[in-house]
Amino acid sequence: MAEIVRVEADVGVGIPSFEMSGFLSSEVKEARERVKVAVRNCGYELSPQKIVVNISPADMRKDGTGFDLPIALAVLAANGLIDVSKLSDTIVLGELSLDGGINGVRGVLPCICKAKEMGYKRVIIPVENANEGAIVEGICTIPVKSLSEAAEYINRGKEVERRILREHLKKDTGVPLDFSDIRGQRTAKRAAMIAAAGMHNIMFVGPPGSGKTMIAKRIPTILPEMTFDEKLEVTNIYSIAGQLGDGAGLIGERPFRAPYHTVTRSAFFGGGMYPRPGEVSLAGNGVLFLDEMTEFRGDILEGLRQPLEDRKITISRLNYSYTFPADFMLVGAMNPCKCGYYPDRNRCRCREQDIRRFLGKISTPLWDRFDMSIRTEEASYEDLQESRGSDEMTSALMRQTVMRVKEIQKKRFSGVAKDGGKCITFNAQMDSRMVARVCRLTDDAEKLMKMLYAKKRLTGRGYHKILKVARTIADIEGHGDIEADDVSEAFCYKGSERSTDEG
Amino acid sequence: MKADYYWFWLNNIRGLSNRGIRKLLQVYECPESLHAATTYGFKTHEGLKREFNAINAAKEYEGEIYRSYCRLAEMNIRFTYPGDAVYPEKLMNIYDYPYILYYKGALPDGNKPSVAIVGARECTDYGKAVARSFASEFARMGVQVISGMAAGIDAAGQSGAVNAGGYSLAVLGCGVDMCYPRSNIELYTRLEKSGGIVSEYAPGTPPFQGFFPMRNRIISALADAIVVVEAREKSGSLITASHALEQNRDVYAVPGRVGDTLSEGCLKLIREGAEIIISPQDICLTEAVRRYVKKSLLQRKDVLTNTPSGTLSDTPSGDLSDTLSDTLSGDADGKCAQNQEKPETERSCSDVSRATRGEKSGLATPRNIVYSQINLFPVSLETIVNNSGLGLAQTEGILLELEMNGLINEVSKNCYVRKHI
Repeated sequence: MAEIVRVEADVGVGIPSFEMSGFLSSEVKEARERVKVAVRNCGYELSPQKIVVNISPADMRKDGTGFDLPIALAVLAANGLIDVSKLSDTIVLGELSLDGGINGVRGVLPCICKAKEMGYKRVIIPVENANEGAIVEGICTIPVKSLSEAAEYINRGKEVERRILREHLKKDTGVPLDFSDIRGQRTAKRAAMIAAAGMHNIMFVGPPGSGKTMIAKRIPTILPEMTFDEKLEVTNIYSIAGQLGDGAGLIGERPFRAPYHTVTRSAFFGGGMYPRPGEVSLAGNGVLFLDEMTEFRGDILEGLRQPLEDRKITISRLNYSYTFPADFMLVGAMNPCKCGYYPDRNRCRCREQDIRRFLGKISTPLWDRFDMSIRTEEASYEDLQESRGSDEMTSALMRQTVMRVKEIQKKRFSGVAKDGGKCITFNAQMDSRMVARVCRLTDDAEKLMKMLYAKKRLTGRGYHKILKVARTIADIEGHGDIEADDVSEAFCYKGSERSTDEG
Repeated sequence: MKADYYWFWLNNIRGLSNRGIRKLLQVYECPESLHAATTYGFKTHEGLKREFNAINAAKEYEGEIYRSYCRLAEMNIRFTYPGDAVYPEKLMNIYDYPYILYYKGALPDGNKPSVAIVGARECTDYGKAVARSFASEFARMGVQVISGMAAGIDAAGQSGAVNAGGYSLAVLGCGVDMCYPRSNIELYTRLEKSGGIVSEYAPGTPPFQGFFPMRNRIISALADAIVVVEAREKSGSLITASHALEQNRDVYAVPGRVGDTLSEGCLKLIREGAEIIISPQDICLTEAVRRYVKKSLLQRKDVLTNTPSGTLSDTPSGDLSDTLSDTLSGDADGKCAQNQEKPETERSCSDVSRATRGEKSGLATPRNIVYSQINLFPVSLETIVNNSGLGLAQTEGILLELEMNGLINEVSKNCYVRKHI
């Protein structure tokens, strides 16, 4: 994602000026004034001279504020104020403020990863990004606070002692969410657990106030821990998006993104003249929750189809195309009709065609991408009165199950790479060839599946989805081969549109 | 010029209401003489000034009327008028009968009884199932099913009748060349072929709110009895019912649960004296239906005695005739309704038993428990699991099994209803 560029500076006689070249965006061009003032305020006297700075390769558009520090160092080096030979093997990043201090920039983590990959030994980064820099091992990161500190380091090799704030700035989430907050809803909770265990996309359908959102918000509490690579990937994306927050390091928790339905296309999929990742990428390795899914604009919903399939999103611009990962678990919530009470005709007076139109807002191809869907029911009075202790489904217990299933899946998919080269980690990610190999059915299950296929007019895709979910259920139940019960349960969760009237 | 053109002309004059035509025809014996009067001058009549003016104004666009008259044939639309041979006799019995009736397909057979099935547009799946099963049973009895082809109960009833091979008539509140609502297009095309579509509004007339209560009077007039399946407290079906009472037709109501908004209309009708209908055979309380069913039974019995007995049980009409002959032979007077109940309940019981009595004991099997949780109104998976006290996976397995056996239906996501009433 990141590219290494080279900053060159030349000083010489001529009309005193400061020229910069290299296909720069305006924020990079503005570095001119910041560098001049910051250099002066750090106590360096530059005689009037013509300064030319070039950033190569010159055909690649540069944007962002991280170029200030390298430009300043190049200018100083050209004036002989710092030892240029010591700058080899070093990557420099940082934004200058007028007093010579260095501010944090976004996208530090991918830069460091790239530097490491390219074999660089040192990276000078702003002190604000110190925690981000500390994530990557095997490369020396030098957090600096000011321009003079950076120059000092280069000239003397002396690293300023830094108390790295390793401890996370824990985000204050208030009262921790837990599945035991939800009364009743046994079916929906179990479905949520199955979905989380296999990373299946799931849709909650139910009347308003029946707890769809409540359940969805608690899904991250039962998701399995991320591996280091996954954490790195998530942190990378947040770093590029500039959403890491001050002084934050490696992100340890799976992201939960719940964009509101007025979200714009570019905020959702990523965009901008110089594309930044959108919600689909920020939800990577975590949950993308679309509440009131029918209220989302059609183009946004339909646009989801591709990232759901490819697990990445490509944004094309005239001279470059950017690919961001978009590997998320989609959780949707919707009402069964406009008023929300269908099929309870005592309360629902929606006309048949209105209901059909309402459901039609989510197209069949999109429905096809939901492995599971489940109806939530309004909690009864007894459920609400139920004391907290009597509910056996707590987040901790559910997470244990999820973790156990994750281990099973890890063993199953170890060494198996999909065509794209990316490893499969969850049942939901299996392709059809894999399904055929992994989802073995017992005789009873085979019989049932055969009957379902014929009687329910399943499509090939629908068949595979049921098998995938059945595989996860079998993993939860500890079955080696998929049993008939697993299939029938999976079938109950099949993502479906309303069946037709006739029959 | 054919005589029927003048009827068409009279009915297509703008600003001339049904009432106006009635008044005019009290003075002039036929439309043709009226048309002649436009050239030779009207009789002096005080109360008809407005009507005469309208007719005079119609001279302006008579060419237009004639053109649309000529177009009827190519649109496959026919029409009939009072005094015409095919004009339904039943319509003549009502006060405000239409002076023109456009139709596609066939008009109902006056020698066969007709029953109207009406009800709410936004109905439950249960209501649709009732309408459909009643209508198909009526069709087997040889009764013609009349309705308004609206969404919901109307359409369910009519498609039930057509599916069972019976005749069904749709009375529209717009021109007969229009399918309203659009979603019933399949039913519409089937009715064109094997049923009938009528309307008193000229082809091309778009549906208009005020037309629907008007067409309801035709629905009830064409029928010998009307059956209201599901209706809210303020419902168009109740308008049809009150028309039916005015026109001296029998009104039946399918009783619903107390407290459901969709039963309020039917329960109100019952309180006001409507007959309760809980099985299709109850319709035999209506004289015309009973006479016809009895007659056709006797005929069929003659045919059946001549056929080998083995084929008898294969045909659906076979067991129907058994059922009916049992009840009709004993007492032909009004008491048969009580007897009718029995075979029907027995039948639905046998459906259940087929599902549940696989295990011979009378104890509650898990299947029995789950099935008993499901009734005619949608029940969600969550409720079933909670009330049955069974495990989730087990319940889901049983539900799937019941669904595969055709005993229950998933009407909405994870919401189930019983298929058999």
